[in-house]
Amino acid sequence: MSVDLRLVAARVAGGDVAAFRPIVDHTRVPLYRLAARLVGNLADAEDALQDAYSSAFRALSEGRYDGRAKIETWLYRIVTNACVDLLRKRRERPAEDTREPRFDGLVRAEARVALTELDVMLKALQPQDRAALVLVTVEGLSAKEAAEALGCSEGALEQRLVRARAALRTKTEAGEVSDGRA
Amino acid sequence: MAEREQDPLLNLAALARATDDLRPTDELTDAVLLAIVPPDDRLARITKETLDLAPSEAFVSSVMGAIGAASGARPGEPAWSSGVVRFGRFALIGAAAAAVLGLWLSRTAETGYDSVVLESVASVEVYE
Repeated sequence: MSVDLRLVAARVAGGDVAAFRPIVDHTRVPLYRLAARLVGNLADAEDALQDAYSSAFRALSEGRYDGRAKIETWLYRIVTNACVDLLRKRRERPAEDTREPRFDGLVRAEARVALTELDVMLKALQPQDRAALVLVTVEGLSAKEAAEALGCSEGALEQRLVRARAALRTKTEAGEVSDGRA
Repeated sequence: MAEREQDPLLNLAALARATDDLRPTDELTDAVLLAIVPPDDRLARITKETLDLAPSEAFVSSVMGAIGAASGARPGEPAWSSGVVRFGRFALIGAAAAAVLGLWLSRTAETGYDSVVLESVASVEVYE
C-alpha cells in the first residue's frame, strides 16, 4: 500500500501527533540502514535516528517543512546531519564504554561484523569526508543527491571524496590492515 | 654463557634456535588479504553485507513515545469527539442565546398583544 507522505505530513503540521507514525513506519528501514552505515555501529545509529525523527517532527509541527522535497529526501538529509553531528561529537569526546543497541533484533551477525569493519576502515576520516564517501560509495547516491543530503555544492562533495579516498589509500599503504574482527 | 657472549657466532646460533618456532596465527593471512583488496572492493562487499539492516517493530513505538512525551500529547489515535468538543462550546452558547432571545421576543409580543386587547375592550365599554 502506497501512502502519500506529504498528505500525512500536512496532518502532522495540523497538530495530529499520531499521523507521524506512518512516516516513521514507512521510512525506518532505509534510514536505519543509512544511519548504521554512516556511524558504523547500531547503538549510535539508533540514537542518531531517534534525534533525527524528533527534529523532523518538531519541524513539521512548526511548519518548517516547505513541501518542495519529498518527505523521504527531506528525512534523509536530517538523518545525515544527525549522523555527522554524532561523528563530530565522537571525535571530540570518544566514549569509554560501548553501549548495546536496543532495536537490533532483526540484524544478522554478518551485518554487524561488516559494520564494525566499516567503522574501523573509516575511523580516521573527517566526519564530512566519511559521510560523503558512505553516501556515494555505499548508499549509491549520485553526486547531486549526496551533495543535497550534505547541504554542500557538488564541487565540495568531490573534494571530500578525493580526500576520503586518499586517506583510505594512505592507510592501506601504511599497513594498517586491521579489519575490526579481532 | 660467558663463552657464548665472547663468540658472536655461537650467540647467533642460539638466537636462531630460540626463534625457530615463531608462527603467525591464521589472522595474519586474513589481514594480508584484506590489505591487498582495494578499499572500493571492501566497501562494495560491506554494502552487500549491510543491505538488509532494519530495526525491530519496537523502534516505531519508541520514536512515537519520545515524540509524544516531548510534545505533551498522547501519541494515540485522536478521540472521535475531538472536533466535536472543540466546536461544541460555541454551539451550546449559540443555542442558549437563541433560546433567551426567543423567550424575550415571545414575552414582549405577549405583553404588547395583551395591552392592545385591554385597550380595545376598554374603548368598547366606554362606547357602550
